[in-house]
Amino acid sequence: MKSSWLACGFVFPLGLLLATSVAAAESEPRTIPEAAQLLPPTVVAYAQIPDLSATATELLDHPLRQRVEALPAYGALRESEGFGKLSDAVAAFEASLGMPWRDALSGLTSGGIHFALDRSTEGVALLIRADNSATLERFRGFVLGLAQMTTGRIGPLEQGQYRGITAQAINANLKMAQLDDWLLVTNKSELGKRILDQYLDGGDDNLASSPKFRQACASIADVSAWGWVDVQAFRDAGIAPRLYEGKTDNPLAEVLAGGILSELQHTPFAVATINVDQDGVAVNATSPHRRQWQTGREYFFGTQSDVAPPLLHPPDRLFAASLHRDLSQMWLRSGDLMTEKANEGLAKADTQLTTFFSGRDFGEDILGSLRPDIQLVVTVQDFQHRQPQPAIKLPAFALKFQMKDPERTRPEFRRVFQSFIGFLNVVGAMDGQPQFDLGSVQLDSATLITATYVPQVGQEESTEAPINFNFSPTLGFAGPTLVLSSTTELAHRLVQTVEPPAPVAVESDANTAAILNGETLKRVLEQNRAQLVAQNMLEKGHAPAQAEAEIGTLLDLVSLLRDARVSLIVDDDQLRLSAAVRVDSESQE
Amino acid sequence: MSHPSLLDRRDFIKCSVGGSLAMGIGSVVPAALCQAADSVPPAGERILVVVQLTGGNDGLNTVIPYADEAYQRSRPKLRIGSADALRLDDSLALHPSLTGIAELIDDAMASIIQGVGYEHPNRSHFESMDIWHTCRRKTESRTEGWLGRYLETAAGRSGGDVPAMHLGRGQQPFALASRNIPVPTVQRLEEFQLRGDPTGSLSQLLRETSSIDDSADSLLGFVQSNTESALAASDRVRKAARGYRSDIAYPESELAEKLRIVAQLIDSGLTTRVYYVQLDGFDTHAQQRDTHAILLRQWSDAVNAFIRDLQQHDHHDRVCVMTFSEFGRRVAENASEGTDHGAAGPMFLCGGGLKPGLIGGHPSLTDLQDGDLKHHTDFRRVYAAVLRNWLETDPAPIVGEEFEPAEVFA
Amino acid sequence: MNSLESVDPQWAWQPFQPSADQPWDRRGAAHLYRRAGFGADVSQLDRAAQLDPAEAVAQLVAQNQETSEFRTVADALAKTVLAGGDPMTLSAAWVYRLLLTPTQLLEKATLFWHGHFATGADKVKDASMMWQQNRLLRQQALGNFSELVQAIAKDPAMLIYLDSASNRKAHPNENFARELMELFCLGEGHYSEQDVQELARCFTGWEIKNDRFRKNRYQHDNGVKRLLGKEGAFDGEAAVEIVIDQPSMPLFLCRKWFRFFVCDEPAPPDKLLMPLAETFRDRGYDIAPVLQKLFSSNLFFSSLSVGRKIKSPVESLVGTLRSLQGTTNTELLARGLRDIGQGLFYPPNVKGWDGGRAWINSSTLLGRANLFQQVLNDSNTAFAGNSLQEYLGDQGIETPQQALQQWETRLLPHPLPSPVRSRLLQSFASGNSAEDGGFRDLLHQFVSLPECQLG
Repeated sequence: MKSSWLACGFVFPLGLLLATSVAAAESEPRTIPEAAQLLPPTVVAYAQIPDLSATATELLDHPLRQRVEALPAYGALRESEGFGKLSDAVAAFEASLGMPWRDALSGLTSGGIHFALDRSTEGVALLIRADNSATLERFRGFVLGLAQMTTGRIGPLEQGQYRGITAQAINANLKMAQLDDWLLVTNKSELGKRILDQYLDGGDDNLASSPKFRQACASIADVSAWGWVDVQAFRDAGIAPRLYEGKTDNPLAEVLAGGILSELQHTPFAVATINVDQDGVAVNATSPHRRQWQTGREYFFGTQSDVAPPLLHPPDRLFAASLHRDLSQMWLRSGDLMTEKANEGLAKADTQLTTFFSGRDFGEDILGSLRPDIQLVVTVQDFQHRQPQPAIKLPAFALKFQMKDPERTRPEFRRVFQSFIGFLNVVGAMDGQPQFDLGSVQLDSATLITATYVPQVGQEESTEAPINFNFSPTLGFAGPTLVLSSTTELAHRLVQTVEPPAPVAVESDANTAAILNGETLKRVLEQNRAQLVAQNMLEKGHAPAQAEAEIGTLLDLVSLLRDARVSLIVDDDQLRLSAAVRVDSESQE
Repeated sequence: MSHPSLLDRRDFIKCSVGGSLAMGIGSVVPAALCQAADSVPPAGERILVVVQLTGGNDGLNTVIPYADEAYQRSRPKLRIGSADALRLDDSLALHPSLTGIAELIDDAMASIIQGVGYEHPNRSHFESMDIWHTCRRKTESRTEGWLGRYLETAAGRSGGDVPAMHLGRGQQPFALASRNIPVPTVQRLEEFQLRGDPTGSLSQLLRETSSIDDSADSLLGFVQSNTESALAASDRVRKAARGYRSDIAYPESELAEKLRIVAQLIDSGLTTRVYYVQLDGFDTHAQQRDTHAILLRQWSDAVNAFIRDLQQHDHHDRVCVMTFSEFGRRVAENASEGTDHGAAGPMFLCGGGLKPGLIGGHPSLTDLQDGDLKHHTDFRRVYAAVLRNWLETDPAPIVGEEFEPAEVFA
Repeated sequence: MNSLESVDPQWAWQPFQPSADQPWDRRGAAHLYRRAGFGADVSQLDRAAQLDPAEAVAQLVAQNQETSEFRTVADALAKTVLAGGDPMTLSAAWVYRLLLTPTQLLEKATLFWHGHFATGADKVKDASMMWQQNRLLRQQALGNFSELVQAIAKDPAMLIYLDSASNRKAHPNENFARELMELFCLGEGHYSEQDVQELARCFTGWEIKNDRFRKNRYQHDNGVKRLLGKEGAFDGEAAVEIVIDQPSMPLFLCRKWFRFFVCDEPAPPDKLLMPLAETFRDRGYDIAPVLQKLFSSNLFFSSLSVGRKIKSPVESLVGTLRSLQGTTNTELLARGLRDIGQGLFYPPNVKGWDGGRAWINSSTLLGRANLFQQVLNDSNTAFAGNSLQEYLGDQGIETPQQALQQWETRLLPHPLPSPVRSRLLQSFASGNSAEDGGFRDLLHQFVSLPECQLG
């Protein structure tokens, strides 16, 4: 299993905050991009693709390419009108530049592609640096020709002079100018002029001299693309204020990403990198972080040593997530964390839940009896020998918690679980739903409280049973462990098996980690193929054959996915959000 | 009424547009004409807005007999003291959340009818709600709601506009069900607009073509005139929404948003007579204090903003907001700091033409039936009053002959 | 006033003879397909116009069951989506069927019976019961009325909808008994309250248990009943037979068919309906012969019928799409139809849809136009698999004039008044011209016209 880039987190010196940091001194910016010397210091967002040609090569010569080209859908794509247009465009490009497009691309972008958003002029600029001005000149001709075609105007385009440099209008909004081996495209003349001034006059009044920017650059290793955002500037300018107010309407969003909201409230800047290689795509976003910004959201960050428990790894795993969250604290503190609207909703929910837990306070007594370690796992079910078989086949899922005081809380949870099942039976009976049979299983070191749907008479061997038959809600206890599972089978596994050592080390220090497996995802979809086809027919009005083909393509595409991971790591001076999608280059057939 | 009726306006537009087409300047003139038509004040028909508090509102903590010892005793944890409550008189006060309603009472724009219920109260949410909606018990045949029956008797009186409207999501309240009158459920004002018609060219075209040939064919004539009135209504709603100025800041809640839409629709001159909105969540079996306070505030603030808004636009005298809940709650609180399903409770009327303040005494807290307050006013008597005195319809066929209208209107 | 009063019943139901005034051409065929189905594309219309009208009708009637190929697809689709349990998806699956079925009259008649034996999923809730009833209606849509009613009387969805899932002899449930006579077979005035009570006794012991019909013999009242002038210890089946054999029954049904298939108004006098009613009775309550007679008649192709109906939302939307070989997101369409008053499986009440003028008010009119707009701009909407412009292009239609001409023939009972046509063309010219969007806008405007609400 290759996961080199997963581990390629990078050190993030916090020069601004820890000016004397040794780390900062050591990693003196390796490469401040040259484009930054042309850009004004008022730029608040910058992005770069250092070597587009290499990235393109990575993609086009990817081992996956063979698998993609073998898909029936790829053939159809090649026949399509859009593909034809693309081929025509490539041909025109090659004709204008007089060389194969990959060579042209490599030459045109050898100095990188740079994108900037400027605050003072509210303009955007695109800078491309080529390896020679002659090729660039030809490219400029190609763009101008294209502009004439799309605007439908024959004859010279509108143009203007500034300090001897000619700028042309590509359309109503965009202007383009060539400065030797640089090509500049911008939507604001003011911004264009400032860049030209900087190019002609030089000087230190530029983005490259900005301390915040220099810090960001220091951390950039070899990547396919990266970007930098001056979060502070956005915050100060009052752009999208809701993003920085540190509150959300949605309790689930708070649980998943409340810490990131705190971060956005305080952090001076953020850097994101994208890396494309043979394994897949990895995105890393990092920003400077300080402990004191966590005030109010201790439930999310925990103390220094608190990390999420390892990801569960039962067989047939589809998805797993682990979080360090003190839900009780979050519930009790929600007044400060969420918007008024969300709080009114939570207050109402609290009333309902407390009713349900027979008067015990939901936040304090129920959530409060659990440790702040949450493990969620979803597995594909095997329906082969199941009777009755549900028509829609859902995966099983389970939550695993640790109880603070197992002896005291175990009976409580058992009682609440049993009365909840009883409640479902009463409500279900009124609705004509199947009924649960309560049971219990005593294992060596664990107890399971099970609830199983009783099939209706004559339906025992049905293969089209209602969706209910995906579930056999089960509560499991094993020592301090509490498992709440949608099926007895999964609960059984989780209380019995000793977890294998965490397979991926990088997650061990994460505050939040999650993984989705491609192969099992495909299995779930396969199990429900008939449903997906029917859905496709209804949604698109397709004939059965057409729908079959589309779902086939979907499954083919899913089978290219090995897995997808997300993790959030917080340490003393930085917060890092990583996401990675890995592809499966070898056919499983 | 001194205003030209809707029909006059329609004919006016029709003639003008027809004429302008004949002169070949079709696309320029009508816009101005429509504006002229638009500035005619809306017809002054009276309007009923029903607010349903779903789940069973705790009437005892809404209109509070703060001085009553029995209250103190029954509600050791949930009672609201005289210091917090908004005093109405020496014995009764409103829940502290109800500042908006208290303000309306001071301005003679709200009345509270106490002790409303019905014989042999049913404590199931669904059954009791059905009784309030249909005025009938389960044992009787009930396919129509009381408002549905009203709509049937008033059929044809609402011009081309829908006679009633339900604002919200999901299933329509039974109260609006009838055999012949469909009632739309609306969520957003956009539903009154033609989609994909940013320049108004489609409505322009339909308006013109609808009046080109009013042929003798009655069905076509019918569809044409309905198309015209639909466009006219749409136009009014759009202009009302766009030009709607109000200094009233509605609170941020779903109920307030719905009432804001109702206010705009009323101001647009829509001839809809009945609007129906709901606020859910009153089933407070546990930890009632905070939730109940939030819900009452949402309701009170929204209704207050709505009435103030109508006042600004001079519609308050023709709008009556009626608030009810399917039952009150038990007098004694339960062990989870909540209350269970009960019986009688207060109803609220807000708007113009009312006898303001408290109507009828507070039910006794010592003379109970099965632990619940006894009603002294049947809810159908309140309906009857609304039907006769407000909507000016004979209530007997709708609620039953035995229910005399309660004296709630001035 | 009532122009139907003066119509000669003999002439009315005689086979239609085309004449110079009333030719049999594409337009006539389009009328037939709009009423006996939802709409036909040009090639279908051309084929029909080649036949004589009686043959064209005979063909439609002869397709009284779906081809096994289409049925397999459509049934499998419905059964698969049942698993989700949401009647709205079942509603979408019916829209799918309406858009693609090769047997249009069968589907139109199924829709008729759905309105006649109205049962709403909002109350029944169980999608599989709704599906079971839908299959029954389709099975007998052009079959035998007597068999249909006998089956409906035992249909779980129907009995649940009418609160008649249990019926005990101590408390006979009058609900189904009343509707059977009032709404399903006879109409008000043809039975007494006494008959309702006696009929209810006949149905005692009929109940729904575990979603299935069964007779509970312990709850059946075995006593003698006096029903509609007859006396005997009737059970439910015998009682249904007595109701169906009432002399007023055939006329009641023919009146409903007349209103559904011929014209909204005015109401036809009894004497005009007598020949149809006689056919119904003479053919042992078989449905197909009556409809065949109705669709091939003079009256059906006369000005008393053409353009004298307000299209229902289904006729309007599905009809337009079918006429242009359109397919779309059926879930979107099913929801939209419900919003504008004709949700499939969601009739407003036990009376079904009133139809006629009741379809129209200011909210539903805008709703129709908006639903068309949504459908036409949905990325899943295609015409024979193409964009609208490509589809028209394939038929040699390049200009808005040509498009309007084609649509007028297929979708409208009468040609558009010329000022309306020129106004549409003017609007097209000022819009984004000959792009696909231009034609879609033109179609949107066309179907929003008052003229296009008549079928």
